[in-house]
Parts: sequence; C-alpha cells; structure tokens
Amino acid sequence: MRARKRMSIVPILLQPRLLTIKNRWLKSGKRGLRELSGAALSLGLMYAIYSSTLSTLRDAKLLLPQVTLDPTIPLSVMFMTLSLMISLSAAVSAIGALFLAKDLDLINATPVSTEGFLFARSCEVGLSVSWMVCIFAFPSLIAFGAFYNAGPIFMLAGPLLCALFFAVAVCVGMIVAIVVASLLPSERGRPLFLSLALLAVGGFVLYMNGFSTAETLASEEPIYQLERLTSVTMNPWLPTTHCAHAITALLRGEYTIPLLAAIESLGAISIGAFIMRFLCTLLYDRGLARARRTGTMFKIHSRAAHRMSRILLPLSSASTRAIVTKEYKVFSRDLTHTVQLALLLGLTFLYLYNYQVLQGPSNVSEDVMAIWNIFLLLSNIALGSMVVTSICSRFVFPSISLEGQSFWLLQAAPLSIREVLKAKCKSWTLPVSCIGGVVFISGAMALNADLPLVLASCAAGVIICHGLVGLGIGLGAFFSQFEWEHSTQISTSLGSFIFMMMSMIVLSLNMVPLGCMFGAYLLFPELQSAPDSGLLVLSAGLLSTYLLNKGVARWALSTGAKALQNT
Amino acid sequence: MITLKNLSKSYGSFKAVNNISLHVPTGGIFAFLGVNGAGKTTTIRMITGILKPSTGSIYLGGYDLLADPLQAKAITGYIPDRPNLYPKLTGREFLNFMCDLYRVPGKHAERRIDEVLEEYSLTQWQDELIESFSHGMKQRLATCAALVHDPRVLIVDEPMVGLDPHGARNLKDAFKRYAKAGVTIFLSTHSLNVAEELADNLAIINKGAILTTGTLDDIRELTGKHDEGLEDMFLELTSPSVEH
Repeated sequence: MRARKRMSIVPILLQPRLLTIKNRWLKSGKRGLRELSGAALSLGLMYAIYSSTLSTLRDAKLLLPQVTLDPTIPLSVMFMTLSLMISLSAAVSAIGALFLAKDLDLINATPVSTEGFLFARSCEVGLSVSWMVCIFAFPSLIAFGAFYNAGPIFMLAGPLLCALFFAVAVCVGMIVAIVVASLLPSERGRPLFLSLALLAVGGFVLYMNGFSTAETLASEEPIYQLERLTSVTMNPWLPTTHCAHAITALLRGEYTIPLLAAIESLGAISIGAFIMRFLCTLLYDRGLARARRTGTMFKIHSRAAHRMSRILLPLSSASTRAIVTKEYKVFSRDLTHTVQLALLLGLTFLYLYNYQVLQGPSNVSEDVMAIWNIFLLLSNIALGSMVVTSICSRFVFPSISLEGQSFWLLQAAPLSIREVLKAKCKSWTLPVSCIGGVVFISGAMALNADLPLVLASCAAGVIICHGLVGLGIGLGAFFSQFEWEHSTQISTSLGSFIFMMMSMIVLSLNMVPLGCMFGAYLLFPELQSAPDSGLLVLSAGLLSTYLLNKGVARWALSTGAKALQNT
Repeated sequence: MITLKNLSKSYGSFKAVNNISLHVPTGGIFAFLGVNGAGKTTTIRMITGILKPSTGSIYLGGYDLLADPLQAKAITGYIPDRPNLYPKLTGREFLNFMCDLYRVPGKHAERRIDEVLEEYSLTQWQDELIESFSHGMKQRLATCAALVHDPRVLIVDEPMVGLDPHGARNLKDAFKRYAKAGVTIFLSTHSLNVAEELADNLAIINKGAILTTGTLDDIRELTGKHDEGLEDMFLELTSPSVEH
C-alpha cells in the first residue's frame, strides 16, 4: 500500500514538467513552431545517423569482404562516449533538480516521501538527457540490426537493453550530484574556480612533460596505434563492454547473454537507487542547506572589484564592460557552472592524453607521411573544436536564457539587443579561446608538428572559437527561454542540441580552407623552405577561416537579436 | 513629458491595450489605476521599451521610443512590481552595473551610489549578495537602481508591494520630493489611498481602454460624486455592470 502511494506521487511530481512542455508547444505561437521545427530536424538527424551508420558498415564489408566485422568494438566505443556524456549531463541536471529548483519549497511542504521525491527527480533527470540516447544510440542500433539482418526481437530488445544501460549512467550522475552538492557549497564557487584554474595549469605542465613517453609510441604503425586506442574501450571490467557484448549476442540471435546483461543493469539500477537513498538520508539536508546558504566565504569588496574591471577592460564601452564584468562575477559565484567546468576540464585532459598516442608513423614514404599529418592536424582542430563546442553548449548557449527574470534590466536599459549580444559574445570569446588555444596547441605539439603549423593550428582554433561563441550566443537568443525551473535545464534543451548540430556543420565548413592550407603547406615542401610563400599560404588559409567564422557569428547574432526583439 | 498616441497591444485576437492616448505633463505624479488584468502592466512595459506595441507611438521627454529608443530609455527609470535582480551580485555591484549601462561617469556614479544607498538604508548591506536580501530590501534596491542615473521620467509599477510601513512612508515622501524637483512620475498602483495622497493627475484603465483621465476633481465632476473619495468613484467606474 505504502509502495503504491510512493509510486503514484511520481506522475504527480512529473506533471508540471510535462504540462509545461505541452503548453509551450501548443500555446506559444511562433516559439512552439520553432520548437516543432527543431523536433523535425532531430528526426532528420536520426535518419541521417541511421543511414550513415548503415552505409559505413556496408562500405567496410565491401572493402574487406573476407573479414567478419565484429560489432562489439564500435558499439563499445559508442556506449563509452554516450555513457560519459549522459553521466555528465545527468550530474549537472540533478544538481539543479535536487538542490536549486524553484519548486523545492513547495514540494518540501507537501507530504511527499524521500523515495517518491528522489524517484520523481531521477525520472525527470533521465527524461532530460534521454534525447542523447534517442538521437544517437537508437538509430545506430537499428542500423546494426538492419546490417546483420536481425529480427524484430532485436529491434525491440536492443533499444530496451540500451535504455536500461543508460539508466545506470543516470543513477551515477545523480549520485555524483548528491555528493558534489554536499561537499561543495554554492558560496565557495569562486575559490573552487581558482583551484580549478591552478589544476588546469598544473595539468598542462604535466601534459607537456608527458611528450617524452609519447615519443616511444611514435614508432608504431597507425593500425596498432588505433588498436591500442580502441582496446581501451574493450576492457572486460567496463560495463560498456558488457552492454556491447550483449547487443552483439542479440544480433546473433542469442538470448542468454542479453538476458544476463539486462539483469545486471537492473541490479546496478537497484544498487544505484539504494546508494542514492542512503546518500540522500546522509547528505541531502546538508547539500540543500549549503545550496541555500547565501553568505559569502570571503568579504566582497564591490568598490575595489569595480575599479579593477575599469583597469582590466579600458577600451570597452561602459555598457560592454558592465555586461562582461557581470557575466564573470555571476559565473564564478555559481556552483553549477563550476561543477560543469570541472567535469569538462577532466574530459578535455582525457582527450589530450589519448591524442598523444596518435603520432605519425616513421617508416613510410614522405607523401604518405604528409597526408597522414594533414589528417592528424585537421582532426586535431575538428576534435578540439568539438571539445570547445561542448564547453559552449554548457556555458555560452545558455548565457542569454540565464538572464532569466532579470532580463528586463537589459531590455529597459539604453542599449540595443544587438549590443547586449555582442557584449555577451565578447565576454565568452576570451575564456573559450584560451581553453581552445591550449587544446589546439597541445594537440599540435603532441603531433610533433613544426612551429608554423602549431601556431597556425592555434590561430585557426581561436578563430573557430570566435565563430562558435557567436553561434552559441545567437542561437541561445533564438531559442531563449527565460522561465526555467532550474538553470541546468537550458543546456540540456532541444535548442542546445540544435546548437551542437549547427556547430558540426560550421566545423565541416571550416575543414575546407584549413584542409587546403595544411595540404598546400605539407604537400609542397618548397613552401616550407621559402618562409614568405609558406607564410602567405598560412595567412590565406587563416583569412578564409576568419571570414567564414565572422560571417557565421554575424548571421547568428543578427538572427538571435531579431528573435529577441520580436519576443 | 510622456505622450501615448493610439497605443495598442494585441496577442492574437486578444487586445490587452486598446488604442489608448494619454499626455502626462512634466513634473508631478500621474497615477495609472485599473483592476487586475486591465492592461496597466502591459502599458508600462510598452512605455519602458520592454514590450513592442502593436500600433501607436510613445514619446518620452520628446524622444520617440520606437524611432529613438536609446535616447528615450536613457532619461527613464523603471521600478517593476517584482524586483527580479541579479542574485549573484552584491548590492553595490548591481548599482555599478546599472550606472555603466546608463553611462553615468565614474566619480559621479560612485557619489550617486553612496547617496541612493544611504537614502534607502542599504549602505550596510552594499557588499552582501542580493540573494540574501529580503523582498523589501530588493524592492528598495530596485528603486535605487531606477534613480541612480537621475532620470527625468520615473515609471513605477506597484511600488508599495513588500515594503514595511516605514519603507512605504519613505518612498511616498521620496516621490513627492522627486516630483517637486521636476521628475515626472508615472505610477501604477492598486492602492487607491496612495494614488489619492500622491497623484496630481490620474487615469483609470479598464479592459485595455482608458475610462477617464484628469485630476481628482475632474473625475468627481464626471461621476457627479462631489463628496466621495477615489475608492467609491473607482469602484463605480470599473464595476462590471456599468457600460462605458
């Protein structure tokens, strides 16, 4: 009876969220249409992922007709990437849902059990990150099913097994959120932020020292290097490997291993729920009290801080300086931002560490070596930009919506919406470029590229950062939602996903001038010996990239400004 | 100082504000009265430049708000009914932010911030985060923010909400002082006694249209109730059974 009561509270607690989504779609006119077109785009993307996975598998079969393609490796890579992304997103959403949501007072005053509350919030967090599974995992699975001629049982059981597995990732995210929020009170955002900056610098120094060990790997053939990388994801202790094996077995029509995997996942979810309940009893009140505590650890000297901003931003207009300073202050004092930054920096180092392994082979002809280097330099920029995109989707895209109910202050002030967007763009270009610059330089240096190429990679990366920040602010304004329950909802919204997709398109476009630039420089060694010509080639490539990204940023900002003016 | 010409705002087929025209003379307090949902806040949001009118024009201090929004906004201060400010800034940081947005020069800004903080008894809280302020303190800080750049026009929406009797008294006295100094105050309120006490002129809006405008005596003349207070006249004018 009691359990029944607990279960019935879940749909009640989820009701406001679901009704809000329904009302937003049905009753908000143009905005509803905009979101509907976003959903249509998502469906198109799902189809694109399905067809591209299927055609890649078919091409691979045509290229290597004698080899039996084992789906376990690509599946385990996909599961590992997605489970990391889902855990990160779930942790961030859970901090918002459990500790910062506006309706917490209302719910705490009602007779809702801890289990009911926790379960409802877990469902809410799970739903908020479920789009990643729906858009990326399900179409790929169906494509694998179609390629291996799997029956309807696979088409039903495969996604179900996959969903169960990702529910475990959501549990992990929830547990991380409860621990983090109880350990790091919101008023300590700034010291934590500074500690993170120091850690990042320390990590970079360690990373640069790590080149010596990476050099020993350079003698390996690329195929072995690739194998070394993929073998990481095939570790038998990893849950992702278990899930990949289960799906592979399901593809072959075996049901024992998938059944065991499903039981394993359900067991993990139960253990996760138990840990969550235990941690909640132990830490929730402490976390909530800390999130609600409003004092500051250090005394803030507002007068001195304002003078400092005048010194640091001497050339900006007063209104731009006001917005830039406000952005940095709000960012450094918000716990959710700091936690997200910590998790993203961790992922960035993981990426950089793995990238060291991919150095060029030593025993091939110069032409092959040059092509391999072009590929590596371009993939450094592409992968580095993806890291920047994920940072932008967490911090830059939500920047306009995070103004929330305070947006009237900017609307009523004597400055245009376009100026506001430009100031926001300026605020974020510098930090994102700094992080991007470090990622791009580290990647290029890890590849043992020449100094001009390292510098060109860095410059190209910074230029792309400018384009991505402009795109993030512009689309953030276009898909702005000022009435959010908790701030983390914005970075996991459909608009954020569309921003990521648009970023991928912009990145693909950037590969054209950059590919030509690196190609011309590396395939014609005479350009490297004649500094003027080499410089000319690099400058022309960078100029084209700059014009492209400037155009993207301008378009996005004016689209965003128009949308906000019509709100 | 404030002129509204044939101002309308529609949401689909619903007309929130229907073709209103008003003129508010320079200096003095103008009370804008109406029942819930009459269109007061919509009108105010249009006057402050937050909401775009469907038709009509707005002039603030001679500047056309739609054609020259930056000049018009620069001479205007706005105190909203709900003080949604930046919770992660301190009181002083927030006022510095507002000074920069309204381009108040550095030293003058520092002096003005000290003055308004002192005037609204917030000096000792200036270095605390706004999220730790009570509703009344936030309301007073929003008032400081509206006044810090010395506006010529002050738009006020429900100013007494959340204020204790001392705060309410101080604010009323301050409004009288500003009006005397030549500031035009456009005040929307439910408190008819506040309007009766402060307003030189007033307008009553109902279902998006202006019912009447003028001085209190003009309205007494119109309703034929020479000895009655504003409350009775307001209730009669806005009664659902009365056709206008």
